[in-house]
Amino acid sequence: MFHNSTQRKFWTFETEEEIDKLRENSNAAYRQKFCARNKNVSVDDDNFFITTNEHRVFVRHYEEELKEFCWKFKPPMPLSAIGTAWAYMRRLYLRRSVMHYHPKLMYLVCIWLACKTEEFNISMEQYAQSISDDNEVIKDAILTIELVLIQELNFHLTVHNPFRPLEGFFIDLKTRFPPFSNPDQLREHAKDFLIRSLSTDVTLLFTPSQLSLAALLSAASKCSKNIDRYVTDTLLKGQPQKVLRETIQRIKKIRTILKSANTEKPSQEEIRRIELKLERCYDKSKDPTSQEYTKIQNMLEAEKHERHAKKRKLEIEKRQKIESDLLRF
Amino acid sequence: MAKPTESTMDFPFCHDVGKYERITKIGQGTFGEVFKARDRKSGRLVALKKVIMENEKEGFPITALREIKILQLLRHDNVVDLIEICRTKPTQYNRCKGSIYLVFEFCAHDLAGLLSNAVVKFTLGEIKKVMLQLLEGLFYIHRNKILHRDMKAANILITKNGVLKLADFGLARAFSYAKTGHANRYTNRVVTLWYRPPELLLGDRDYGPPIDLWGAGCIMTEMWTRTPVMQGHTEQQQLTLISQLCGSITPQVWPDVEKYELYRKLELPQGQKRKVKERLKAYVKDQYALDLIDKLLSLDPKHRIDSDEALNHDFFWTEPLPCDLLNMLSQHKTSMFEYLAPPRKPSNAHSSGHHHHPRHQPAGPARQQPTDPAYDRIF
Repeated sequence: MFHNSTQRKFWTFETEEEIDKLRENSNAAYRQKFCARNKNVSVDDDNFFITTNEHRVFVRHYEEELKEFCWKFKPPMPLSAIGTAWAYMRRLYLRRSVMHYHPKLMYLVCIWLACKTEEFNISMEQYAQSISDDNEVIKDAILTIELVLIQELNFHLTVHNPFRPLEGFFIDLKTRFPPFSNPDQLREHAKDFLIRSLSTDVTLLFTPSQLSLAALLSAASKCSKNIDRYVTDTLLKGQPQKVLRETIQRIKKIRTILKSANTEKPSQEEIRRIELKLERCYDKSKDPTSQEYTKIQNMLEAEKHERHAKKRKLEIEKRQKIESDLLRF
Repeated sequence: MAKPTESTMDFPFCHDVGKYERITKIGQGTFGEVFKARDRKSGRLVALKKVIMENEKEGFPITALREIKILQLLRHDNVVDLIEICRTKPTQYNRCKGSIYLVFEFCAHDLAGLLSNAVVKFTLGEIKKVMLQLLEGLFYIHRNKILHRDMKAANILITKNGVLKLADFGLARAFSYAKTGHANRYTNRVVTLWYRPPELLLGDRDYGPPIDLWGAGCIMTEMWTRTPVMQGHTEQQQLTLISQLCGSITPQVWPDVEKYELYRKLELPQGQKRKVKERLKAYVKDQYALDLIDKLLSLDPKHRIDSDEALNHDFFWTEPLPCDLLNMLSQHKTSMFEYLAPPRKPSNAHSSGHHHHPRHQPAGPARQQPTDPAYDRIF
């Protein structure tokens, strides 16, 4: 299933550099487009535009918001929905800068869409209520941007989360590796590991089963257990040395990235600073909660009105002409 | 669809539907109209299915999300192929009213269209080929844990080369076998009434693949009768028609049928004998065919034959063997769709206006817009 998935084909990358490059490109693209309209700003003005580093911190902050929102949600949201929402956000901000779409709205749209695609069914009424009391505005905004998000994701809605293969490993441990008496003691640690992994790029680099195996091994070492023999003698039994070597290498790589990744919450001051900066440079025409958006809407509405009025006028004129022509005879 | 590395302000992957030239309207799916169209560049024929977005309080319809997810997952000769997804030009500024189109490979006919045309004649070998492909498609989707939930002749497409494709996954969903103590709660308001199995009519919400096999049984019968066999107007009447053909619904033939609340609430005809073979033998001369139909139209879903067993049935392995449809279809130059065909049974024009196939849809509530949003949203 994963093998022929859109996740593997379109959202799994070879190297970290490739991923960084995508983020740089989206940042540069936004700057160029912005400068084409505003001649007084220079493309490389890092004091005006959000840098890729700030982008990373800011997205990180909203990932925390996403996590908290999902955690608090009543009824409790399944991990698959949380993981999928998170993946949507990662994918979106890979090819788009936070300046394209302000994450304050997008993280809520990601969760909303993930709840639908993961069959965690809640109504918009219910969803909006858990966001704020002023829910008419937010409701409209989410419904407006939902389709935009779906298109940005290129309709690739299926996310293969690492939580499922993790359960598979527990079943496998219990049935095929009896020397290890109580695999369930690893569950919480492994889950923590996977949740931490969601805020790094490993989800864009490795397969869900590799991630869950890394989580399992990390949890084992945390509990001072050794399940290496499960990997070598059971899981990869009969596989050529090369496969074993590669698997170990990939698992190591996952753990290194996770260790070196800064998964700490960004500081309040830093977020405040980026927020203020973003307020000036983000694309308000794509934010339904902004005044600019309303202005554009009204303009478009007026244009449409005008077009219709013109058409009506032409029709009336045409009719009058026909009638007068008829009268002449 | 290449992996774009350049980031542009346009949606990088989503093409404008203008790349296709519309030719004609060919049908109406669960959530939108369907057009025949041609790729302006390559000349390839496609079917465009429009996603209706108006009046969606819940945003992009979950049925459309499911259809997209499911079709991206499935790849099989006997399942319709989703080529891409397109949109109309007006972008996010028109408050989501810009339309989304699913682009499918074009299939020349649908089975209902073929059956309603008396000139089209199927030999026994050709009928076997139709059923073989239909069951292979079902076997594949069920193995991938997908229920079609809208089996009917109009949703069975056939290409001009005679390849059958299951289509319209607008009501489809993924399913799982319920864990003990946690019954699934899927909506039972699926499947067009005439093709709806008895367990759904009795209100089952924890159903599975057998619901699609009942439909396969109805379609198989239709290969000979040329018109749907049980055309009820209400759910009650549909159950009556089923009982008259398949015998009374009793705990003797269907253990634990009493667990359904509706079993006691509805009036179920008593003392009816099962007459599947007896009543159909006037149309269906082949004894293996009769036997397979009998097993597909089993009242108890647990006893209904599954697609794997059905494919192993003698019907497919005795002379005449399944025979390619290409030859027969090559004699017919025009496309045949139910939507374009004259009514198959004029007496049935009893339908209300909002139905998608006004001439053929049963009057039952199968495809009605949900009246209670909470109910239908859930499943």
